[in-house]
Amino acid sequence: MKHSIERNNKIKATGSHAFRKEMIAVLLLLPALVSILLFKYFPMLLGFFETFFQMNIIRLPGKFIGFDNYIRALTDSQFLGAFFHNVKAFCYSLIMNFWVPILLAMLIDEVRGGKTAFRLAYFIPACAPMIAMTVLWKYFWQPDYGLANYLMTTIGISEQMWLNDPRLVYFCIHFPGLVIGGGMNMVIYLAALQDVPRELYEAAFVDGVGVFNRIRYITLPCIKSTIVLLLSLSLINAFNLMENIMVLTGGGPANSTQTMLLYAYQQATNSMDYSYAMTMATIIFAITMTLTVVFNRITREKE
Amino acid sequence: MAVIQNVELKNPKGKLFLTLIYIILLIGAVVQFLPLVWLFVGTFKTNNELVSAIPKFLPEKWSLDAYIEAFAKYDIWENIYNTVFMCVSIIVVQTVTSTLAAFSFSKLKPRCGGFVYMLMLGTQMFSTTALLFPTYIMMTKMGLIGSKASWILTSSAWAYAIVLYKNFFDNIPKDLMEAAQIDGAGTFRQILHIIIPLSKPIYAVCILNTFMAVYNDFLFPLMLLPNEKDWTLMIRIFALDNAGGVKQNVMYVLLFVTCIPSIVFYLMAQRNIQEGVSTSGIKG
Amino acid sequence: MNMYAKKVLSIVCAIACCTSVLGGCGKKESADNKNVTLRLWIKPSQDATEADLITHERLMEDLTEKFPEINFDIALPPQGADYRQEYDKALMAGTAPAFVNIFSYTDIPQRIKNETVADITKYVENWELKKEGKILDIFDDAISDDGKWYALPHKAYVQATLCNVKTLEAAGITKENYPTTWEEFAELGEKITDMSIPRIGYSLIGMDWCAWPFTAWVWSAGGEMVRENEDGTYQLAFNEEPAVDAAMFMNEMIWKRKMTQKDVLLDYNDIKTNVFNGSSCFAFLGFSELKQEELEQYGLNVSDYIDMPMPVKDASIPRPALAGGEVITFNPTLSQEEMDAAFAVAEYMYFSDERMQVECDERVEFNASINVMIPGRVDWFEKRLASNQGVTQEQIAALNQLRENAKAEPYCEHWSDLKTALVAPLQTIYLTENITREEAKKLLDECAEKLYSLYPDTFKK
Repeated sequence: MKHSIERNNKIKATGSHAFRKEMIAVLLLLPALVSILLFKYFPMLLGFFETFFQMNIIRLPGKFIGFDNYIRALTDSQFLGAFFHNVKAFCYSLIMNFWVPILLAMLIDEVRGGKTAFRLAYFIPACAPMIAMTVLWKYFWQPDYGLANYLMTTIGISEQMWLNDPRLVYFCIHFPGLVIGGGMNMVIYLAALQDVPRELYEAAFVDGVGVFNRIRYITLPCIKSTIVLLLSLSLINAFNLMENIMVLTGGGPANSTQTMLLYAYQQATNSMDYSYAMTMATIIFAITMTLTVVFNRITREKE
Repeated sequence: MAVIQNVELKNPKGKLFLTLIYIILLIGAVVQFLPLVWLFVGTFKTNNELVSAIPKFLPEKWSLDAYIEAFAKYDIWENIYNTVFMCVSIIVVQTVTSTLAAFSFSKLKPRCGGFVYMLMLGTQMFSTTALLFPTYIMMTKMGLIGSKASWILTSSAWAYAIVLYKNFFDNIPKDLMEAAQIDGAGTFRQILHIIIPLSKPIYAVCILNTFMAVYNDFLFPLMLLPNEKDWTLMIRIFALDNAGGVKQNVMYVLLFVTCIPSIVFYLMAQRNIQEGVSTSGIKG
Repeated sequence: MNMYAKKVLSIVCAIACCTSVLGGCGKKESADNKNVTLRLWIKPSQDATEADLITHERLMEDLTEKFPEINFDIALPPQGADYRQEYDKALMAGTAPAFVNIFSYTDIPQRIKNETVADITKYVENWELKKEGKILDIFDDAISDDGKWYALPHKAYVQATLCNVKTLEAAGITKENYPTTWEEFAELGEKITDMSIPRIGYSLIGMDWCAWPFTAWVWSAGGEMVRENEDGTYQLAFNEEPAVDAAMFMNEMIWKRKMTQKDVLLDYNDIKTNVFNGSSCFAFLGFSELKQEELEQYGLNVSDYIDMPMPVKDASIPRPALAGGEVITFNPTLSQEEMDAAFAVAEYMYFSDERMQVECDERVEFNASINVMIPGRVDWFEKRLASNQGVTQEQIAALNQLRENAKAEPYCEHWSDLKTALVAPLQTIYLTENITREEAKKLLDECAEKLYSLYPDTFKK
């Protein structure tokens, strides 16, 4: 009898203890959970909800119009054009920006002395805020007094319109990435390079494999996962491109750099068409979502 | 020792190769710094020098007029105060919520933990810009537009930081916690005296990331804080650039002023840079 | 299955969260019965001059004396990118002022449609001043619809080409030699442009607002932007020959004559700066935009500028100018009492003899900024004109000359959408160096087709 009571008490004690622990656990979770539900999920759902309405800014949510906003977006030639501008921007970033940090990291990794100095030298300029650098570059490209045209004339090439020229504008947008060689990504690649087993190089050297083949068959495969990761990130970023385009060109000239998000933003702010803007934002979200899932699949299959 | 073996460097071809690498990197480094140097030097020029068709690298006369004008014309001190205020408050709020949540996930493991964790991870897929308009509408209805609280609230939790903290806390041995429990330490004691001292590197990383995110953001806060008196440096620059008609030397001063804190902050946290950046690369 | 249940649960949770928040907010406290509170966006900004501050102080004294029962909530207009956006945002947030004088009359048809302006018919119909014919009536068609009134006239302006006499003189051009036709304009512009000074022949507006000056250029080619049909719809005319001529002339000025700033997409405010600092000879800018204080920074005066009508394609076309104006609109969310108070205050501020007199006196007292626009009270126009210090008779004569052939900016519904739609084709035409006439016409045709299909109720062939 006594024994059973004792046991009972023990169970009760552990039970209440477990309950208390559970309560504390939930309590500690609560601030973050509430914040995420209220300021992430709720707006997301609210935005999705509004896409089925023609929003009236004074009396929310406005008139129910079903899928009209989606139909409008998918038949809007400007929105489709903006999609291709996103794709174009991604292609340019592949050609002009993507390989720069890989190359830099490899070069810096080869250096025998002053590695840290070089790493910092390339890293510090990358710390400067994006918008500050973008505004500065906008001044460089200015056709009337910008540095770019001055340099062109000194080397004897005719002056260009740069950001005002639909043929050059993408080049101008991505050129800073070539000069300020993505210091952030460089550090990531450098970290990945440190994980490549040095013995492999040694063995390859002993076997008489040349430098370029060593890079091709040892270095690149070893940092492949990092490359794929950053590639997928840059693809996702390409579809969320807006802020630096907004500063540099505002979507011009003649809408040739208007990205999807920028178009959505302009629809919201210039025409107060919030529901249409949110429809487009939802579509962009769906696109990036799909891309992420597909990328995860591919990388997982490979592994 | 890397791709090129030390033995190879002994022959002339290897030597040439290494010298070439040095030269490329040196030139690259100089080119990298040129825009920043140009920006710095430009703050001492007059507006006419900056918009002249034949630019010169050094100013004719080093003058502080642009600084004086910029600080007199725009309330930059107020912008700096706002920037500091927003950075500090968001860092504090976010660190507290994330630490608590991560501790709960990692050490207390509540029954609903897995689900909530997935819920939080899911927010990493949301792009800020998709949240921009609905958040704005929500805040107008809550009457928080124009109040700094709106920005603090919307950034009060960041799933990315929670994930980083949780992963780090997972590696802290459970024995330590149990020992503390036996000594009678409560949950908060455990967090304060065991978890935080052991997790300094990850705190440095997360705080750096939050700082950069808040410091560099302008679109979201501009929507939430339409009044000039609440603007941070970044919003000020964006708004001025957007409106146009600003004197260039004044703009140079503003750009230069915004560059200093982020560079200084990074240099301060230099030891954690590598870790910080390589983990932040995964944020998506 | 378990995963599925979790998903459903999460969605239900989120929706519950949504509805609870939606239900909880949106309630506003009602105003005190005795005191009506009116919010006005008239607070002087941080960089306001001494004169601005004194003027504001006096206005506030007058207002509180005149309307003791009204509580004034004086706010600074938001400093955002665009005043329209800021107003709409404020409207959405419930912080919009009782009335504003910022909207162009061309915006009003659109705003009537999306209900962002209040119906003020009952005030306008019983308005003594209007019955006496003292109120500017040129906007009446735009601000009324179906016998209902939605706005009050605030001011009307005329603008065409603002010339910098001083800069032109430095280039050896006297007033007698100012160009009257396109040919003369282009020849002169080509001759005087010299970027090393810098001296820009014509400051061309190619940025997002390019369709606005383009309207004036189309008129100067003898064309129209839109033409009203018999059934009240509009036919688009910006793809007809005169408009193509105008677009091609812009292209010629940029590429062949090189008489504009190279940065064709320059911000409007930067263009203004170029006009103020004397580097630009001609520009599409209103005379009242000149600010004596800013000009003085660059050693210039208001008297150094003069208005000129648009140069025309051939001498047979009367030289046009573009008339525009702003109106006073009321916040549609005001209660009945607030509305009564708001109208009384607006009437006092913008239409009473007392305030008009004060305004004129203050302009003399402070040598304040130039205002040569027609006020809402037309009968005060002459007096206001006379109160401008430093404006010469010659300049006033030039202004009157502008008025002769001035045309009002069209105000049909979707006019602003039309202007937005025109930006891309116009910029393409402006920025393509060797564009042919046919290509230009094709771009404008495509734009017209797009507008016809987008807004079939407004635009019809």
